[in-house]
Amino acid sequence: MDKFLLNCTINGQNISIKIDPDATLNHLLREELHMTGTKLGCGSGDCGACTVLVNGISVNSCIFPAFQANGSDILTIEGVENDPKLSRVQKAFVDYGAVQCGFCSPGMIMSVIRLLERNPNPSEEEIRRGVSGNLCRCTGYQAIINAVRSLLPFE
Amino acid sequence: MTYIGKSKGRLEGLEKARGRARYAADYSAKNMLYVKLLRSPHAHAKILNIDLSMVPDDVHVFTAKDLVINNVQDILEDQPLLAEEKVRFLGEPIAILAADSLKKAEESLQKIQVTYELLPVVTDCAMAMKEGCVRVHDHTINDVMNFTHEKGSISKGFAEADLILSDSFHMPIQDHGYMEPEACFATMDENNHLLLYVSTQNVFHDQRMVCDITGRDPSTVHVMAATIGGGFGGKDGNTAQLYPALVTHKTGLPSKLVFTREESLQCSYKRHSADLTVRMGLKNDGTIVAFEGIGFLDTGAYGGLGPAVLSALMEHFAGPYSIEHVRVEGHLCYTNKPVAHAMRGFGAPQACFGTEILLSRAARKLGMDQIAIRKKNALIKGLTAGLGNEMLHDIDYIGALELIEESDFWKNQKDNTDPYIAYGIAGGHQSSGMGKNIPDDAAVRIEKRGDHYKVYCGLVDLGQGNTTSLHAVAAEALHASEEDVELIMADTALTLDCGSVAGSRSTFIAGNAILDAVSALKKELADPTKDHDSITVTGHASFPQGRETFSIAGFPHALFSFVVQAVKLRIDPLTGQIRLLDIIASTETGKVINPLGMEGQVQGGIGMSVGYSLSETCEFDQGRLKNDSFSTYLMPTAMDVPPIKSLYVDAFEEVGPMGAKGCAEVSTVPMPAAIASAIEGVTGCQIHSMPFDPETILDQLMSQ
Repeated sequence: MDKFLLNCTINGQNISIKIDPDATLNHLLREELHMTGTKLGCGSGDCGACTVLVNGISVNSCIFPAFQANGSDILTIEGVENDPKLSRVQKAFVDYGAVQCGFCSPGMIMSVIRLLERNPNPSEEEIRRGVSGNLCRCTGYQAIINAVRSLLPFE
Repeated sequence: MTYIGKSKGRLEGLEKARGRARYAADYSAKNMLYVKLLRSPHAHAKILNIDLSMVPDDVHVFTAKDLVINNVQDILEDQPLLAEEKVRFLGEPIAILAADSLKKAEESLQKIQVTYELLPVVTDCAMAMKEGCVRVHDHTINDVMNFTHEKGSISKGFAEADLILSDSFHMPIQDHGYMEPEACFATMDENNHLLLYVSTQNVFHDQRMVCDITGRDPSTVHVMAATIGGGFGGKDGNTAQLYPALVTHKTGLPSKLVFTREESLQCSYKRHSADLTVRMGLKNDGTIVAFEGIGFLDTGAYGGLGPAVLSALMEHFAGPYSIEHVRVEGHLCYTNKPVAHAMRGFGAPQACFGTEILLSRAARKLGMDQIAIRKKNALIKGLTAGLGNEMLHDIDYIGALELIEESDFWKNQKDNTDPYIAYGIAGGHQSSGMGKNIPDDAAVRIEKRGDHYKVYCGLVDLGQGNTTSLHAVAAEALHASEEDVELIMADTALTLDCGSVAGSRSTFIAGNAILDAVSALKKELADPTKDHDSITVTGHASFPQGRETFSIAGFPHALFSFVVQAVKLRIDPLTGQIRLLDIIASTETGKVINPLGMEGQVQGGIGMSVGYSLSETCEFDQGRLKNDSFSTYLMPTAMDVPPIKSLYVDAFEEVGPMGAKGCAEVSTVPMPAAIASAIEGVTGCQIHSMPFDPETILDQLMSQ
């Protein structure tokens, strides 16, 4: 199979890499670029542990074809801590007990970033809906809701 | 106290939130081999022949013949690592393949030709117990272990009762559903020792199993826990670690195995399904005078930790109550399904379900308050539980009931006017520790260098936060600043064997070992002839044991934690759908070391049991799992779990570290019964099985 030349930006860095046309974005990140912060939980787009933002939109990288990211701007968990506005989500997750085993945390945090970008002051219902594509088996979600609420302007 | 009782996020939390923590699948190396397992496509069959001749030369393949001892160390010693003569569940590993790419390893699976002779599939306990049923293991009957015990005389007890209730219940097979699939990375270190990074609950058990299969000396096998993405009991045994260990041992090359989610769901450990018959006799004043519980647990193709789950079912069956006449009977059955093993709660959720449902029904029939009937029968120190085992330690189940009773949540019930809204409550308890006559010890080493302390503890942090709790205990006992205390966990080369992270034991046992080490350290410091800048001490601890002895090891336990959980829910009268609106939980677990950590355990355990109640069930057809993905095995999302408020009783356990008891599992115990009772309250129907089915509920509503 002919390789595909992919050009994109990942966490602000220009990337140019030849990939298999059937490679997923998750495979590109974890196996080719060794960016293992993005997790792989199910491989079928059901659990959300692999969530990254492509042009600001959250996608399940495990079912997102890498070639489709050509020309786009990708944000992964590794890029979050450098942005003070975004990294406060990470700190809130720790302070409010939203991180237990931590395996869902990178994907969950990406979904929260996307949620707050679209809706800076979500209701509890909207927060629950916003993270409903991300499964967490440790927290029962309460601590995650508490962490997000702590970031809202009027809480 | 400086650190105890204060809320604190995880010490390693930021590393995890930044994506820097390394889980087993995150390790890789140059020249690494990708490992795949050839798994049986049949649930029950004889293996007539395994033909490896078509496997390409550049692919490594290993079968049972390549193992020094073909055995998974467990209670019954009945499971081979690789099937040789017979397969007993669909997905049982037969051969290990390793290649320089995942694709090549996967493609080579097709090159192995196995000839089978199919056998009838034993599908459930009822079939397994039938006379003449085909045996899963030739040398033993399918009723592999059973237990009966009678305290007092139930015939006398039921004769005295004013009200007798009985019913049968079925509880499904639940998957642990940890977000991180099973994984292990293996490599040879510079000393030619086998080095493993594993997603595991016990690195020392892993080391022993690796030595069995490879014949290596333990000094040449170094096992470290990677960051663990959840375990819940399911990583306490043989998961993905032994196969890459063998590959690297045989080839000298690094190797890695990560299960796919389908593999994890179809083939890995499960919670035991249960078929229960419960009978309860009460006086008109609500006193329970007689109880009988009969349970069948489906342990799948191999025993796993099933015998201990059976004993936990027996020990918890009569609930946290003092009842004069109690009979329990339990059977552990082999079937042709994946191995049922430890899962958070370990038999206690199964024990609680029917018992608490009957107690709620009894309260309604007797016109009694749900909390009052539980208080009336509650266990306290000095009384005996269901097996006649004396409660040797302080218990405040009544305190847990009163916290709910006094809450606005519970009081607001009377203001509800919506006929489709209902409240349900259930109580429960959970032992901690491994139980009678099972080794249950820990040893922790502390190195003092100047003002800096290194604490070496052999336990794994599965994600539940024992590192953070133990760090607080150590800093507190050492009167040190938190920055001066460093905790090193779960490394066979650096730490001492502390046993498994199971049985809600880890904070208790390692906490006590830390305290013992600190008192040894203080003795050294009191000796002016010693060098106070460089001291190394080791502390030991053993779990307290129950007084009585039974025919099976592992029970009774000495220590228990207690919970009461209540739910407010609404049933949609048009669809029968259950919507949980609010949950409150009250827990008695001794002194709480880290309230934020404990809340997380309570809420997480409840979330898991919400799934168990409403949607999670492994559905098998002739041993094949029909729902082997997260789009069909449905775990709750943030929209399915309601807000959960967690209260705890201000208690102190004398023998616990800083007064603490175990709390990680008890939270999973009563929620299914609480939800069932609410549904029964609003619909008048009787619940007999989980997960609760909207269609059945709707039928009941329509017939009213």
